[in-house]
Amino acid sequence: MRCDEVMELIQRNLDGDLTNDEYEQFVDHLSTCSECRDLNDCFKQLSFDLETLPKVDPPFSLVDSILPQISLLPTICTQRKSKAKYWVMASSAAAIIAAVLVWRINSSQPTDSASMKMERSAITDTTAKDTAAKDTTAMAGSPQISTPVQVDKAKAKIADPVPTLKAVEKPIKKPTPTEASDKGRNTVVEKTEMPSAAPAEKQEVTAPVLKEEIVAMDKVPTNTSKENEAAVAASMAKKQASEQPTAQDQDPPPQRTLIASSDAPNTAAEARSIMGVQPAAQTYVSPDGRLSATAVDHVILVRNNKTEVQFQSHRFNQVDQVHIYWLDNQQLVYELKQANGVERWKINLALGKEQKE
Amino acid sequence: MYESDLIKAAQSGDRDALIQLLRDIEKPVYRTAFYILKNEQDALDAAQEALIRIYNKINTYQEKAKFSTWVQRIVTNICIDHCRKKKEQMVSIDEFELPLQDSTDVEGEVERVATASEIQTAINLLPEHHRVVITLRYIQDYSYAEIAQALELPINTVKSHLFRARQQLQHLLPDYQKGGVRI
Repeated sequence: MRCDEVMELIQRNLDGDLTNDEYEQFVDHLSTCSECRDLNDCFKQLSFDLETLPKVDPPFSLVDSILPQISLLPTICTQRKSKAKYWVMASSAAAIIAAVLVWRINSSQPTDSASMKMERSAITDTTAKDTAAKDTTAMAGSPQISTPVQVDKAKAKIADPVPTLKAVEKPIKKPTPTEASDKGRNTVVEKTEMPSAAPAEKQEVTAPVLKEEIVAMDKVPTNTSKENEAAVAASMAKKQASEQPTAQDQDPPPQRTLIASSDAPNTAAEARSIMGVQPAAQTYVSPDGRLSATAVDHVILVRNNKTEVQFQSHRFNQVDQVHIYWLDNQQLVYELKQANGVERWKINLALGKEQKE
Repeated sequence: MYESDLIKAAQSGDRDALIQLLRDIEKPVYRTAFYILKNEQDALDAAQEALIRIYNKINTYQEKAKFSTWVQRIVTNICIDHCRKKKEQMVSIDEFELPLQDSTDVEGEVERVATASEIQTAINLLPEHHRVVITLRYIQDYSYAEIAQALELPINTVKSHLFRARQQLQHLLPDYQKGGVRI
């Protein structure tokens, strides 16, 4: 047996792959060839040390870390699939209602609660008489114009109150006119400039700049897009939620109102987030309204409609501003603005991870 | 070995069984990811992604293959994707001229022992496909057949990768070169 042939036997012998005959030939050759014997010793030692490499363990339970994401994923059970379909229908109905509200707002109708409630159902004609004629029950009974995130004050307080964020409701400036009908970006939350949080809260969280058609609610483009419709729905939902906090408890479908607020939720603004537009309460709702993202206590929290935390970002240092916007129902981006620059992070809820961009 | 009953229960929709199954495999998944991706953070990301994918695709597992090799296939594919996305410039073994350690003191009777970190560093220098095979062979203790099943490669290809990887490691680590082997 030649030395070049023995090299393969040396390797295979490390894996116990030699037959009895091959092993005998192999041993015979080694007994007569010192070079091959030395080489065999080298590889034996290497293989032995490879086998003793540490069996590393994860620093925490990976399964526990992905449980929130797993809970969002569809399962074999058809019940969840049915729920998903129902959400789609509810979202469509909410969008229609939002369109009515946008039209209503555009006509500079009073935004009192009564009129807000009356603005449902009709898509086109939204004169004062018509809107006054519409009954509030239409709002209450049908799929609510609200985000799936419950406006449950109690829950919000227990879960993760953001009193400091609530203090920053009033935008300090209106957003510049944007392409309201840019449907391809309708899930992108507009950034707002908002005053920093209360002194007790080190982190300065800013709400995204509201779109022009959303901020004032008094000047909505006539060419209403889904974003504008969402804004209309938001204003109506805001009024509704302020007067009917229990509406959120209806099941199904859950209210499309926002949470993460220990005070009275700005449901009108929150309802705007139906299409992923940032409401004044600094809670950013996903396009389908099932999730909401909030910057609180140096982390980004993503919650479902039951205020259960689905994802928590890494803890970041004090920043000047935090901008959050949804790319789609499972992905969102948040930007941490500091004096020395901006950090962009992308959260992928399906994967349960975030990545710095 | 993972109980087939647990797997069947998971496939039939028993969420608790599926989660228990994930708990049983999370360590092997992480270990494979760690040695392929070479750092903890990437390994955590890849392992979590693998577990989620296993959760989603549990019904696609067929008993004709071992469950562990099916799991390892998923995690290795994810790790390979991670490597390619990172577009790391692997140090070509042909370009690597010098051993990792200065061997000037090996000429005599001094015996040096390659530490685990040195071996791991050498493994990190291997091309991706060699690193994967080494990981499955020595971290998961797989046979040729199991590696071939996990990577969906012919056995001869597996052998070729494994033998070549060991040769590269032997070249990188002076302790395993002739004259420098500890007894």
